Amino acid sequence: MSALLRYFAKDIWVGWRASPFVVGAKLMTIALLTGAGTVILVCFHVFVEEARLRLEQIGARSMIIRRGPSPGHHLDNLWLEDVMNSAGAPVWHHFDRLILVADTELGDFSVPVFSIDPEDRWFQECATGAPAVLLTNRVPGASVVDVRVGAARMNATTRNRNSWVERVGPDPLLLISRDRIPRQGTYELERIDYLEIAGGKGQMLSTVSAIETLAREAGERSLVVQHPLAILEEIERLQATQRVWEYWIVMGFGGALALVMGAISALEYREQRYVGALLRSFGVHPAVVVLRHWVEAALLGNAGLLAAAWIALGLAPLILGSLGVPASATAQLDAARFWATNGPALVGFVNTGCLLSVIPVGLAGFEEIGRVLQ
Amino acid sequence: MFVNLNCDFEAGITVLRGPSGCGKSTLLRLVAGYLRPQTGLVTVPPSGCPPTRAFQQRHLGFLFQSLNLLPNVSLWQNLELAASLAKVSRDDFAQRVASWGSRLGLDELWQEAPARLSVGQQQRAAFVRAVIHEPLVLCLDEPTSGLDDENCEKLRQAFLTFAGASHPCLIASHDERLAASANRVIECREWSRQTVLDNQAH
Repeated sequence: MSALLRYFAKDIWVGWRASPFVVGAKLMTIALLTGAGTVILVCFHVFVEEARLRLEQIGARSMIIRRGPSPGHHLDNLWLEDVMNSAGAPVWHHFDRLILVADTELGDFSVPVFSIDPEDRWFQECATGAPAVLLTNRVPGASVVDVRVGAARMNATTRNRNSWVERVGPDPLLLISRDRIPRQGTYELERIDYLEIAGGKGQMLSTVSAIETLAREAGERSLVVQHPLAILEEIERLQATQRVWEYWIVMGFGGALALVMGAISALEYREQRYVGALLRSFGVHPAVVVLRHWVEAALLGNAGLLAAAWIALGLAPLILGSLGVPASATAQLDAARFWATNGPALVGFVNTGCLLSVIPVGLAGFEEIGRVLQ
Repeated sequence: MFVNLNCDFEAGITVLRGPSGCGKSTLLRLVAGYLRPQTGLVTVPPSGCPPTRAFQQRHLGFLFQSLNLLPNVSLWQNLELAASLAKVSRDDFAQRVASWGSRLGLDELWQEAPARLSVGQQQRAAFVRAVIHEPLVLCLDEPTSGLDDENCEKLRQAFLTFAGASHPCLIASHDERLAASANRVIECREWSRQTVLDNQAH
């Protein structure tokens, strides 16, 4: 068997050396078809990754509820607490944006002031004993600055902003413990709840629906829920479309590849059928002869695929850039992740094409040896 | 092509002789299992069954009229492949190659590609490949066509050496020189698209 394998290896290699243009034509065909398929899949990959990045920034399980200064407080936090408890929300911070601004030693600008429950554990960790926390990226975290709110002066611990704080308010932002607000009875401009739920998209959907229904029943017209459902749906839609394209790439491009490779193989095999019949005359199984041609096609096919994918991944930022896709999106193109997601479809279509291309050789295997060899 | 043909081929050299198209090569291919009879039965040793792939691997040596050697590899690899399929041990293989090489003047040529050899050298090498696994049945189709007297004589001696009286060796040939060395000559005469075999003992 090893002699047969050695023979096949040498036969393939000598054949390639004898007809480099045929090998080049095959590689070019495979590379063009694979490259086109790869570019399409790269586009989907970039769009999905970009949506995922947005999702990571806002949090896949987080939502922000913004309410106006509702006169009479039709909608208090008790019903929200019920909804959150049923949703199993492990994180919940409530802020009130006040009609107050603060001055700091950081510069000549006004800092919006938010109040927060003094029992909020996150606030306690950030404040480390101070009555206020200045959330900003303008200075390093964990330093202490002097702030003035109206006539009152107090210390505030600085903290750098994380992704969800960026969604709550501007930079800088002053959080003051509710019991340390200098002028009691100050009206709020806006009430903000930051929540994270434990479940997935379904729970998010039902939670948002419950909040909106209760708000409507309570006559709360100013309530806005910011949630990642739109992005989740966008990702699902992109992935569904990607699956359709993967199917057509495998069927269409794989079929085209099979036709082209099959036509070339049929022409070649017309010359090589004598050698195939000679091998069979020694008792070599016809399937082994077909296998040799499939291995040759698969070697060329997968080499073409690797070359095409490498080139396509390199050129994708340029192509996508020319189509108006921002550089921040194409920066998400990670070759390893791309292969993990799209590799099976690409490898599948190339190898399906290679397998189909040996059908003529397989059919020739049924010819009687005595009719081929004279 | 053959109607009511019933023939046994004994050990020794049997030459099939007759005009082109009378079915000499077809008969060899039927014996080898390269063609299937539409009706009737061909049986071969050692099993006494119709020729199978295993028979072709281990017990059959066949020399075609043309394209006898695999073109992309050396003579050595041609022989090695046939021997490997027939499960010939490495030692036996080396011994037989050396023996046939010196006998047929191919010693210096084993690493050459077939395309670099003359027709006579290719035919001799193809003969060695046909016998390297010491088959039970040897079929040679026009083995000396296109060969000069010297090459023809070398091959004739090789047939005689190999076949002796222990192996059936069927040769389809017009060559009178081969017929002179045969144990048996069968005349194949074309008649109404049927072939009649006349036995003519020598």
